[in-house]
Amino acid sequence: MTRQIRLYWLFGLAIFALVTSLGLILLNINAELKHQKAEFRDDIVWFGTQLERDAMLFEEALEAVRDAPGQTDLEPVAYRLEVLWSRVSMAEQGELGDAYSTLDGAPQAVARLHQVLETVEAALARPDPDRDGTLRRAVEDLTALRAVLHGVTVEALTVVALNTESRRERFEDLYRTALALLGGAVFAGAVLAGLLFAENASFRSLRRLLEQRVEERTKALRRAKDEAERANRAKSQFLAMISHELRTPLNAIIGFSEVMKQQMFGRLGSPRYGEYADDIHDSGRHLLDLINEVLDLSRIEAGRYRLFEEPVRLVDVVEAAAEMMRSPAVIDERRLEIEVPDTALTLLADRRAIKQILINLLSNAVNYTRPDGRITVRAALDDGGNPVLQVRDDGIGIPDHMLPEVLEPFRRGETPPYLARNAGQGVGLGLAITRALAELHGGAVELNSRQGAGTVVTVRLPRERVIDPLLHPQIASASLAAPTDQARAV
Amino acid sequence: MAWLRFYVVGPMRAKAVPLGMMAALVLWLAAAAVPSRADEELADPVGKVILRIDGAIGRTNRDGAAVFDRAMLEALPSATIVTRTPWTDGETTFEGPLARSVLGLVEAQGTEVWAAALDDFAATIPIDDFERYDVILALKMNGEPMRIRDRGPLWVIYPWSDHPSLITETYHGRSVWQLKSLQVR
Repeated sequence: MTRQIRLYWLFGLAIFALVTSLGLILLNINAELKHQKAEFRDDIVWFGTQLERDAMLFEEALEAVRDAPGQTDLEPVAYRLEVLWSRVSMAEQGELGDAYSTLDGAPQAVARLHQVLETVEAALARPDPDRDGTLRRAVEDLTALRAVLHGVTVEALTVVALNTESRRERFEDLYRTALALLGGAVFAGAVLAGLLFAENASFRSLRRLLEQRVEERTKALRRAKDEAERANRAKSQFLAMISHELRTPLNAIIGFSEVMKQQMFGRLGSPRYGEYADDIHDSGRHLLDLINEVLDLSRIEAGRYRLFEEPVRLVDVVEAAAEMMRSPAVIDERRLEIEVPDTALTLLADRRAIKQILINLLSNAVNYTRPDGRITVRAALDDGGNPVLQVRDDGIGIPDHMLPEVLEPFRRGETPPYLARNAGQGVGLGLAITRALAELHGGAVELNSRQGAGTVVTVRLPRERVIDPLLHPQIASASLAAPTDQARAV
Repeated sequence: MAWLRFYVVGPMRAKAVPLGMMAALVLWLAAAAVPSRADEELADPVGKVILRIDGAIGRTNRDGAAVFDRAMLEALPSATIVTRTPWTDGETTFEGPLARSVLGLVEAQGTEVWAAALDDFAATIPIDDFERYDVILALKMNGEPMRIRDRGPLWVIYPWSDHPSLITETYHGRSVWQLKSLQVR
């Protein structure tokens, strides 16, 4: 965590350094450009030369007048005077003049030139008795100034050379600075790239680690699942075997207690023996029922239960199941209602399994309903065309917290009032078997219940199992006549 | 002149025309825009000639050249430029005809002018400069006519203070003082 934060700090600093470096480079360049602009150009050499030239041309014009006494055409002198005036006034003002005046001897030379110009101009302007003398002196002055002006020009050349040199040095400095900053920027960039690379690498290794973990967990889970399935299969096999082994001695117990009940081989000495024989027989039958249930569920779970699919007309099965509930006088006819709107409704299903489902559901309903309660068994198509077997009662219902559990094997109400009603009745396999059989048919069991108001158990089978009597009239009619044999033929 | 500028920047095709040709076209149009002058002969100077224009020009008044005295130049549309220069102290006010008006008057057909000075200095100036900037041939400095000693009588002045990008050796070099002639090329 701290390493991560430090990395980000470095990251931020690198970016800061980069931006600062670039900014400094820009500032330096800008400053140098400004300097270049502000710095006076190398014109002072050119100007110095021009000043020398104009002074000489003026001197020549003066000499021409001096050497031709009585000369009246003073125009050339006046013209040269004007031109030299413009030079001199330029040396006395402006940026260029300021730069020129910094040269050694320049201000003095310019001042003397100025003086000469004023003198000559005055001599030309009004009649001067000593005009020739004035012009001669002016020529002498100008001759003397030649060397001075040339010296100034040479110095200007030196100054410009120095300027050029210092400018080159400044540029070299700038270049070095820029190079250093660029190096810094490159370094910052490299650090940045390194950080990104490290970040990426750590992300990659983290991802690899996660992938590895997921893979390990998946393997472990698969192992655990295989283990659990193997254990469940072993349990089912064990139960199936045990149940089978238990049935053999039970048959003996039931058979012989029946013989004793019937007093086939002579009367029992005491009537109590008769009662005991009845108890042994009843208990034995009960035990056999339980074992058969366990065996069924075990077979289903072990994958050994094979559906024997044939056309099954639902109304027949419902009637048969209801009949079975009536026969041992566990329920009287008034309380059991059968609703089968379409008596021709026929499914491709395992007849025994469907009957088992109905009996299981009806037994539960009977067990958990008051003696004057009402039970309805219904077989019909739902809105989606799926066949539905439904048993509804107005009994004590199932509390919400138990709803998810009751479909599991061996789960029953362990508290009153359920406990009392469970006494001596099954082991809690009824709904589990129902669900297993429904699922074998591709269906499902739905449980709706309100404590104290009753329970509705719905077994919904896939609509593909419905046999359309219009499409298969022979099946429908055949199943009416001789269900089992005809179905095999189909 | 707004309609004129439309031709310069308006139609897309105009951009394909070389800048020089465009400048010439504009100058020709500028001349054509003043029909009263276009039909007339260029007047003869009355006073002292202070500017001579020759080369590729359409209107002349003397031996294949157009010559001007001060009054002729003062009659042209003029402009005032207040600017600093390296050769003067502080802000200086220059006044004179726009260079493009002068060239328009003589129907200049070229891409550059060769500007020569009394002191034999000379510089070549692209005519494009005159289109892009209000360059003047200054006749007056701070309200006074310029003598030769004041770097007159004509001085090519750029509006440096309005366009600091012009403060370079190139444009300082084109700022010819004591201007005496222009040759259109």
